[in-house]
Amino acid sequence: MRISILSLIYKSPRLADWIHDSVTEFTPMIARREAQFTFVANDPTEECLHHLQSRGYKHIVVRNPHRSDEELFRLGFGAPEYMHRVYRAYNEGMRQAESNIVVLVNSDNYFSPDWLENLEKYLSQRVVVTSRLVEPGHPRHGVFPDAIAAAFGGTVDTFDRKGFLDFAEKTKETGLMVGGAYMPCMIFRSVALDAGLYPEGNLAGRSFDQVRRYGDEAFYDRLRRAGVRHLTALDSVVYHLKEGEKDDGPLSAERRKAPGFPPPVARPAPARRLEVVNRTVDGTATLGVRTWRLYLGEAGRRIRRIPRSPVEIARAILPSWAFNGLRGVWRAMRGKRVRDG
Amino acid sequence: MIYLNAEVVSGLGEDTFWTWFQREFPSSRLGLPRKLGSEDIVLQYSTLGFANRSGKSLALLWELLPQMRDVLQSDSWDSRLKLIHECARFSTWRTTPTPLTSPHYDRFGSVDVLPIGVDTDLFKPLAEKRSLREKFSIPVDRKVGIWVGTTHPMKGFGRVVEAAQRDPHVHWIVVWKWEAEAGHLHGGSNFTKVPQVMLRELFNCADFFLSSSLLPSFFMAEWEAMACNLPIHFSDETLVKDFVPSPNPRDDVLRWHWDRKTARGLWADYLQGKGVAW
Repeated sequence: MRISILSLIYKSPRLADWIHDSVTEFTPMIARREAQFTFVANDPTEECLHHLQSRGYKHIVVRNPHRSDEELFRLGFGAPEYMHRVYRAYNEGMRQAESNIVVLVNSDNYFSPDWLENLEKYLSQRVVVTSRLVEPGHPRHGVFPDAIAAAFGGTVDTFDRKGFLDFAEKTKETGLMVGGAYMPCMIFRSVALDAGLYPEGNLAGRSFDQVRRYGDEAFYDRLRRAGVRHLTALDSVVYHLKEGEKDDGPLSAERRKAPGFPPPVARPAPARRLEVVNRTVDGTATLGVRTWRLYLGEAGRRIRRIPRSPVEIARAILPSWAFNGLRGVWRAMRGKRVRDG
Repeated sequence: MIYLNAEVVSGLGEDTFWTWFQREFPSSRLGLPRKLGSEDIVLQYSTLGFANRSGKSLALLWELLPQMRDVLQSDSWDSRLKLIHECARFSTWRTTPTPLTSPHYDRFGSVDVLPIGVDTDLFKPLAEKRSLREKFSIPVDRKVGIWVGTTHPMKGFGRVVEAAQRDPHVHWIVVWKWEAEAGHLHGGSNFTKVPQVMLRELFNCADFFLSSSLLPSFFMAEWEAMACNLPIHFSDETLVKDFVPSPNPRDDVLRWHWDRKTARGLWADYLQGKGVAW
């Protein structure tokens, strides 16, 4: 078994069936025993656990200590409390995974053909690859940064399967984007473990309710510091109902109030995102020098190796007089800040 | 816009998939552009490897090298196979001409079956068999078999020689694709590098086509012979082929949607479903 696909579940048999059916249908690697789908039953309800058992769904059970907000804040974690348990469960799933490659998905994801193959083809020890998300939006959470906003239903009952699959076929294209959504994601298990996995909660600011950094962003920060690049495969298209188990029910009151597109993104985009680089790889499963040259056009010809920082990119693409001028201005400003205290 | 990235568009001046496709989709262009728009696609011939362009691409997995490697147990084609696999892996979609060849590529993702198409207006049964035999100095009163190919081992020319020795009453028409890979069958009517109109006439001179191939897939010449409603005989009856031709193989061609009219519709629907505009 090469790949372990992990989804959390805690209370919704309907979502369990939904994702199990979807991932089984669109992941032929499972039938070929190259991949395995496993539920991480996270503090599951009795009904949910019984459902997993009766259906014969492969699962592991994670029981979390329930900590108060104060305890979590002392540990450096912020609101909401349940995210502490969510990240613990993903971490436990990755620790217990039987394969060298792990894929984390949400229980309210719906997949499209080739979603997994198209993640794997870009995977390397230096890359975490995520799918191209399509989201209908959510009254509170909006649309995730870099997700495509397109409404094919917000619940299992209202999901427009054919509409989404047609859309996915028309939307997908071979190529990569730097950054993107954080899930579904594929990563080498050893790379995730070495980076320290998810922090066990959102990172708190000055108070429990003030979130300094979301847990998934912090995990990707850790990966980046470890030299692991976050890329989105534009040909791995996955729908996100955005109506997770927390909202699961016939139709949440919020959804009834706002059935269409939600107001703009509630969650701010990561502060230091690179520009979108919609370029294909050259067979090396990473953004190589050749790709950067393509992206930067004529200026890119001066690049001899992959630029690793904005300074290196600027040095590569700007004429030397412009680069030196900018550097002088920046140094002068920095010196002024230091002098001003 | 549809871009056609072919290895060889028409080596012998014949009407190929590429020339036909360009006629049917007049806005399509040969070659690989520098940039692809969101409604563009590259139809990439697999031996060219991966089209390193961001956008939509369709790998045309028509080469029989995976079958040749399996059957002939040779690694001679591994470098070309590497390019084919790269093309299959990194293209947005993959297509093979029949379901039989799809399993070679399904580890790279889903594989769609699309016909290459055969010109059923050109390759069709003709009534004047006797006059055609006279035209090519082929005995009018003997059973006539036809074979088309090269000396490449996969074509199984040795099996034709065996068949000729086994049944001397059969007269053989042998059509060699080109001079470079041409042999000779003693006692047969040998032709080399024949135009498609002449090939159609030679098919119509014959009573059957001998399929001596070592590979499961039908060659294009076999599809063309079937379009002429020529019964197909097999050297190796145990070989699993795409299908077992019926006594009226032209019907099989139509049933498999390999006639160009139907093939055009299938290609158009397919590309439309992928968001391609032309």
